[in-house]
Amino acid sequence: MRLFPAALLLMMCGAVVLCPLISDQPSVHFRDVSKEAGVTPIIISGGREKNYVLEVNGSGACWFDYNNDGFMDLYLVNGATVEELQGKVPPGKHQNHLFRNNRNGTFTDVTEQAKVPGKGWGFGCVAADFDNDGKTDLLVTDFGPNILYRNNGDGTFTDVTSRAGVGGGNISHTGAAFADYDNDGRLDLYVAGYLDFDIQNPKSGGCEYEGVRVKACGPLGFKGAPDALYHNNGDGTFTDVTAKAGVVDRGLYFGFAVIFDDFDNDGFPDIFVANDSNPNYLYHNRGDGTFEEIAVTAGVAYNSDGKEHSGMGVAGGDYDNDGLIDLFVTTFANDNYALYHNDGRNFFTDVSYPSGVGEATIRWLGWGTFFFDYNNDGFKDLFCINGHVYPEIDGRINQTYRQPLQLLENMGHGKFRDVSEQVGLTRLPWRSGRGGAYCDFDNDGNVDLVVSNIDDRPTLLHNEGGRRNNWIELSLTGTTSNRSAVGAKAKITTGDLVQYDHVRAGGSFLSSNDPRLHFGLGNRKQIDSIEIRWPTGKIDRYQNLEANRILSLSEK
Amino acid sequence: MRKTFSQMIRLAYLGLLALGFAGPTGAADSSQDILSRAETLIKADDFEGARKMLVVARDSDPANVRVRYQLGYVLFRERRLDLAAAEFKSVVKLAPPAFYSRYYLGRITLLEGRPKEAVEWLEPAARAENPVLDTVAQLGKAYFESGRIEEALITFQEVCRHAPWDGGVHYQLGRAYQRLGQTGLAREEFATSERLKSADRQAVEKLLAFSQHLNKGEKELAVQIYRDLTSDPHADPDLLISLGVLLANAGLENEALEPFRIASDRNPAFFQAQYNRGLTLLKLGQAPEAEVPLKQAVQLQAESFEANSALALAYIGQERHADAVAPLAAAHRLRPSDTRIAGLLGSAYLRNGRPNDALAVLRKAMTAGAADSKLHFLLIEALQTTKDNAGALQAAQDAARRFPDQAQTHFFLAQQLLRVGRYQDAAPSFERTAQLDQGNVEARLGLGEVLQKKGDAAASLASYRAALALDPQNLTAKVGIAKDLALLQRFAEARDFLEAAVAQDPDSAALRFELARVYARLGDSARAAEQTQVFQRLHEKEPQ
Repeated sequence: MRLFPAALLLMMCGAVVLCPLISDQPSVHFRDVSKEAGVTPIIISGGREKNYVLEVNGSGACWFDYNNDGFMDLYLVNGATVEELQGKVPPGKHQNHLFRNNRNGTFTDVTEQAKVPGKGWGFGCVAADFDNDGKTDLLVTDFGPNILYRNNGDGTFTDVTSRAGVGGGNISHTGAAFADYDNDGRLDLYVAGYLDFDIQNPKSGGCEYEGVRVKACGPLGFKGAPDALYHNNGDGTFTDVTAKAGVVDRGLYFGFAVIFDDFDNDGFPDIFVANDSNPNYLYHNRGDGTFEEIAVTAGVAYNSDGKEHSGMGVAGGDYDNDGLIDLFVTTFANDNYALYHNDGRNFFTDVSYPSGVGEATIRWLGWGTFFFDYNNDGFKDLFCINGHVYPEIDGRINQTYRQPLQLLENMGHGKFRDVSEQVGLTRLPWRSGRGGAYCDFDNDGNVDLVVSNIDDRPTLLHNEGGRRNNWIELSLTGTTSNRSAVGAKAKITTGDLVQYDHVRAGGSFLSSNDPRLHFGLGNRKQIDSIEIRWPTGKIDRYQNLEANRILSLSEK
Repeated sequence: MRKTFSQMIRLAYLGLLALGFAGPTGAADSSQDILSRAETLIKADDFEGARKMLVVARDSDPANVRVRYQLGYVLFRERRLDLAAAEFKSVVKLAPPAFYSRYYLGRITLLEGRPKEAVEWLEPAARAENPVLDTVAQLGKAYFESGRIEEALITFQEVCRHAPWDGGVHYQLGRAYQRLGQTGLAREEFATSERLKSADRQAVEKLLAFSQHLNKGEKELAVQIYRDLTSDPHADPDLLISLGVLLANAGLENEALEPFRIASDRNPAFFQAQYNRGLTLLKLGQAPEAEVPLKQAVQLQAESFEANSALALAYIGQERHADAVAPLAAAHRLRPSDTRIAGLLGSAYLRNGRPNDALAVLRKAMTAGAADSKLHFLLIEALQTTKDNAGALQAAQDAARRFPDQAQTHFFLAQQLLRVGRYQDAAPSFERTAQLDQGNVEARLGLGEVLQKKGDAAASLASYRAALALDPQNLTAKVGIAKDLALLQRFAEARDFLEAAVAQDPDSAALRFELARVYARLGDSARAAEQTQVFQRLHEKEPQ
C-alpha cells in the first residue's frame, strides 16, 4: 500500500519529465481572457437581422492610458439600432465602455464615472493628447456628430466637440487618425466619411449576393460621405482645412480606415485612406500644408490588375525592416487582402501573392488589422479580424458569417505563413469580428489583442509568451513635438537586426493600437542603439541598453 | 541386326517426314492441296466430303488458319456447333482479330442460347470499318436476347440505315421499341415491316440495285433509278424513305431531301418521313428549316428518342437553348444511358440558369459515362455556377487523373485552383496544358499570371511573350508583359512597350493604368498624371 502512492508519484514525475519530450517546444498561444478580465459587454450594430448597410460595419476598440498609471486602458465603441435613431423606440442600454486596467489582468468598467458613454450610434475611436496637456483625450466617430472627449486628468472626460468643431455633418463617420501634418507641435485630425444615410427614410429592398437574397445591400448605390481634415489651432479648437489642404474627397468615396504615416520619410506625415468599393487614397504631404493625391501612380489605389478592392481596415508597419513603412489592407470576401511593399519615393508594389498573404486571405472577409511582433522574433507579423457582412449566407454558400481570427507569421524574407492554428486562434469560437487593436495590457512584453465582435461580446486575447524572446517597448513623450509623440520614428539596432517603427494614433478598423512602440529582439538581450527622430526633426540617440523593459523616453 | 537396321531406317524416314524433309510431296503442299479440293466441295454444298479432307489437313498442319476456318464453317453448316466453335476459336487465337470467325462464334453462341457470350464475340467484329456479313444485325440480336434492349435498338437502327428496305430489320426494331415500352414507335415499325414485306417486289429490287450501284460508284445507273422512284406518283412512301436513307447514308444529303420531302408531303402523318426530312435538313446545316418537320415528328411520336434529340439539336443550332430543354429532357427520359444527350441537357440547364438541375443530370450520367471527358467539364462548370468551388476543384482533379493526356483537363484544373486562390498550385497544370497544346494562349496567360504572383517576373514575362507570339493582339498578354517589365525594374523598356501597345489599343484602361505607373517611376509626373486621368475616365465606363 505504501509503495503504491510512491509509485504513482514516480509515474507523475516521470510524466512531468516526459511531457516536454513528447510535445514540441513551447510556442506562442493566445488565450481568451475576456471573462476573467471582466471585459464582456455586448456590442451591437443595428438589429441581428441586418436590414441596412449601416448595420453591418460594427465598431472599434482603442487602447490608451487614460489615467497615466503606465497601464493601457480599453475603450470599446458601441452601436445602436435604426429604430432608436429614428426615435421609434426608446434608446437601449447600449453605450460605449471605458475599461480601466486594474493591473492584475482584470478591468473595471468606469464608463459612468469617466463620463464617456458616447451617444447615438458609435463606430470608431482614436486616442491622443490633442491639447498637449499630458492627458490622453479620446475621439469617437459616430453616425451623426462625432464626439471629442477631453481628458480632465481626474478620471473624467468632458465632451468638447462643439467648441472643438470636429463634429462633422450628419453622416456616417468611420475611421479617424491624429497626426501633426504641419509639424507645428499640435495634433491634427482626419476623419473618414462613409455614407450619407437617411436614417428617417432608410434605403432597403435587398439584392443578391452569390445567389443569396440579402437585405443590407451597399454601399454602392448610396451616396458617399466626405472625409475631413481638421487643423488643430492650439486653443482647443480645430479648423476644417479639407479644401485648403487639397484632401477633398472628390469621388465621395466610402471611407473606412485611415492612417497617417510618413511613407516617403520626408519628415511630413502622409495620409492613407482605405475606401470600401472605391479606389484608396494616398495623400502625399507636400510639406507646405497641402497634399497631393497620388494613390494611382503610387500603386495603392487599386489591386495589381487596376480593379478596386473593397478596402476595410489598414495596417502600417515595416515588415521587412528596410526603414520604409509598408501597407496592408483587408478586403472583402473572394478578394485577397493586399500587402503593398513600400519601394521608396512614393512607390509601392503589390506583393500580396509573392508574400503568401494573398492565398491565405482570399476566402475571408477582413476588417481590423495590424502589424505586430507576436513572437518577439524581430519581424512584424500580421493579424486579421474576419467576419462576413451578411448573416443570410450561413448554410447557403461556401462562406460563413462567423469567421476565424487569423495570424500571419512573418518568416523574415518577405514571406508570411498562416499560423492561426498553431497559436490557438482556430480553436476559439468563430465570431463576426470587426474592429480590434493590439496592446501589451499587462506590460509583460508579449503583445495582447482585443477584438470587437458584432452583436457579441469582445474577445480579449492574452499572449502567453511561448519561447520568451527578448523585447523592448518605448513609451515616447514629445516636448516640442506633440505630447503623444505621434509621428515619432524609432530605429532599434540590436546586432545584425535593425528595426523601425513610427508612433501612430489610429488605424486597423475604427480602432487605435497601444501607442507605445514594441519591438521583439529574438535572442538578443542587449540593444546597441535606439534612435528617435521626433516630428520636429530632432534626433535623440541612446546606446547600450538592456532589453525586456518599457522605456519611457522624452524628447530632449 | 538386319531387322534393327530396317527399323532404324523406317524411324529415320518417319522422323524426316515429321521434320517435313522427307518424300516428294511436303506437308505444307499437301494441306494446301487438300484445302483447294475441300473448298470446291464446299461450293457444291458437299460438307461431309469437305469435312473429311479438312480434318486430315488440319491434323497435318494445325497452324493453317484457312484450313481451320473452313473446317469450322463446314462443321457449322452441319450444325456440329461444339466442334465448329473449337475450330473458330483456334483461328481467333492463331490470327486475331479473325472477324469472320468471331461472327460465326457469335452465331453459334446465339444458337446455343448464350447471348452474353455472343455479344463478346460479335462486338469487336461489329466495330470493324466494314463489318463482315451481317455481324451488326447478329449483334443486335445478341443485345436483344441479353436484355440490353437500348443497345439492341441502336444496333438495329444502324442496320436499318444500310438496308432500309429490309422488313425483317423493321420488325426487330419494332420488338425493341415494344420492350422499351415505346408502343407508338413499335406499332410504326411493325407496320413498316409488314408494308415492306408485302411491297412491290420490283420496287424493292430496284432499291437493292440502287444500293449496289451507289456502293460501286455507278452514278448514272443510280441516278436513273432515283429518277424512276421519285417521279412515280404512286411510289410507296416506305420505299421513298428507304431511298432517302440510302442516299443520306452515302453522304448525299441534298439528294436525300427530295424523297423525304415527297413522302412527307404525301403523308404528313408519316413519322419516318417527317423525322428523316428534319434530320437531313439539320445535317445540311439548315436548323431553322429542320424545326418544322422535327416538331411534327415529335408530335407524331412523342416517345421517339431520335426525334426529340434531333429537335433539340435544331434549337441548339439556332442558339435557342431554352427551347432545347424540353426535347432534351424528353430524350434523356427515354434513354437515360445516352451520355451525349445527358451532356447536352446538362449544358442546356446551365445556359438556362438551372445549375442544380444540370448537376443532377450530369452526376447521374457520369456513373455511366465516366470515360466521357466532356461530361466532366460540364460537371465542373455546373459546380462553379452553384459556387461549389471545393466541389468543382475536386471534379477537376478527378478529371485530370482520368484524362491526363487531354490538355483541357489540366486547364480546367488550373482554373479551379485559381478560383480558390491556390495560385502556386495552378502553375504545373498550366504548364502541362501548354505542353499538350502548344497553341493554347489561355494556358500561357494563366501561367504568366501565376508566375507573376509567385514573384518570378522573369519566367512570367517569358510566358506572356509566348502568349503574345501566338496571339499578337492579346491585351492580357500585353498588360502582363508591361507589369513584368516594371517588376523587373526595366521601366524604360516597359514604357516603350506600353506606348506601342496603347497606340494599338487606346481604349484599354488596363494599359493606361500601367503606363501611368511606369511614367511615374521614370519621374515623368506630367505624363503620369495625364495617363491617370485617361485611365480613370476609361475605368469609369467599365462594367463593375
